[in-house]
Amino acid sequence: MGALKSMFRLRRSIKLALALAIASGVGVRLATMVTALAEGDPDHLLAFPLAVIFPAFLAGLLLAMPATRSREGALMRLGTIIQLALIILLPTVALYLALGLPVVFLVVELFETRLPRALREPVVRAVLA
Amino acid sequence: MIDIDLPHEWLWTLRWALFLGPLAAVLVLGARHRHEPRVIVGGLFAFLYGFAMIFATHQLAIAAGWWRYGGDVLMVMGLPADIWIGGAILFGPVLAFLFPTIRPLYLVLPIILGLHGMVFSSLDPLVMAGPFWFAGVVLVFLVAHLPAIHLARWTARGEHLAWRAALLALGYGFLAFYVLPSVIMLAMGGSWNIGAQPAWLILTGLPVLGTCFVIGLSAVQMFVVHGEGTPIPLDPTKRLVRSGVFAYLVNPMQLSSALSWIVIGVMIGNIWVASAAVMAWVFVAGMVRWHHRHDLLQRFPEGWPTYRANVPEWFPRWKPWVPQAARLVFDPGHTWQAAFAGWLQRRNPIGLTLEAQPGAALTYRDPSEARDFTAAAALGKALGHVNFACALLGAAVLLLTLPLRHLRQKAAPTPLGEPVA
Repeated sequence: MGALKSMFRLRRSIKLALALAIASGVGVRLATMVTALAEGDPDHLLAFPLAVIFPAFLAGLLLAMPATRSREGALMRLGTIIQLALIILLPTVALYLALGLPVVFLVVELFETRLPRALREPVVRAVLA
Repeated sequence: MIDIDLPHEWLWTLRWALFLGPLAAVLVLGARHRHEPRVIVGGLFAFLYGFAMIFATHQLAIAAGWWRYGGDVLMVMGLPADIWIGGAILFGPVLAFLFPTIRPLYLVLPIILGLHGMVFSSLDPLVMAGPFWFAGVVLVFLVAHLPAIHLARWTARGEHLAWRAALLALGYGFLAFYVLPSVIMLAMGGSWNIGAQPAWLILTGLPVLGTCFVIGLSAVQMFVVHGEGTPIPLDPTKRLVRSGVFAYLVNPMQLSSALSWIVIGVMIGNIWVASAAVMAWVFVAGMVRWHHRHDLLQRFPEGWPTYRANVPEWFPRWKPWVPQAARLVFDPGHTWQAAFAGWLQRRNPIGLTLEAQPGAALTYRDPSEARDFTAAAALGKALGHVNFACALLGAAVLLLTLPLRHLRQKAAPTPLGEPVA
């Protein structure tokens, strides 16, 4: 029998919190769009698919993906979802956040390879199942 | 040709549809192929290639006055980002997933003639057609859409490795050195106004940039020739690649990208574009090392640690690390072959045995390879055993000779290089 490989996934509570954050972001942006449209400004309406629906869609995909084979993979997924949520919630800096996406991977790498085990493990246990 | 004025509300709906339609389609079609990873990877490659090349060809179209887009929402150098991304999804993964067996040309012809030919001039103020717009549309399809669909199909079927790698390299080149700097300048300020820079700066910068590109392109070529795969881990090599530029450093593509961003930043006088080099380091530190640990170390548990212990990540060795000596067979009676062998001998090549065989063609043989390299390709390979500078010269020779040889061999389905006798 082959050796069983560990699989890593986000805790259900973390997934729920992320989904709520993203849904809230979408709600806020939707309200902003409607208000702007009522004032005769269609710019928010035109930007909505790419600036709101697309990152929400990507975050949804990441949340729905199966478990990863490595812990870093699951943490990188978590970091990317947080970044996408910020892109939705903070439209004025969304472009900078998108350009800075590789930093998420660096942070995860530093977290996994440089942070003392005593600090790292409780955080990992809190977010990964 | 239909030429009507559409109300603004319809055009807003159209703009939503041009982005959300392909997005929804790729989601549904991707789910249908979720158990076929090569199909999904092919779709992803098609999207990335299309993303880069649609931007490049549209910039040409806008500059030439073939058409221009109206509005000021989500614009990147005159191109609406949502239409751009929607187009890359539609004319890449969506068409590739939807029609996996129909020839790409037959797929796009009706779209060019039917859709674009009929309604393109009715989309004002979304897009305003200028003179020669139809030629521009044909160019976009030839350069961006057709190759994207081919790339998806070839990746899904595991065919045409050399062409796949060439398209990936082209797409990455435009993505990294044209799209990304353009987006950086959109965020941080600046423009591609090279004409305003001093001529000496451009004339000095171009050869340096060319050298940077040789490092990266040579790495891609080594992956194809020696690894039988592409540089993208999603379509990985079958063997660990330690030849050519990889005998000097582990991350030639990342070094190439970082140096190229610095050179481009200096040439256009933009510190932010040059700073993208930091992102290359961030990418290596965050993503590439992870890939090394979880992919290369797993697939090559013996070869990878030894290679990694001997070859640096960023700063190239001056002399190569060669685990198994190769042979260069030459004809001592042939003037230039003998001269080249003598020149090599005087430079003490690392891991290369010179073997005189009267009447032989110049032939490079690596014991771990299933093929030989002859004539100019052998010269290029042999130069890789001298030092880093010579290796770059050899890489440039190989970048010219191996594709030409591949094109010549296209009629006969043989791999790159010559089969071992």
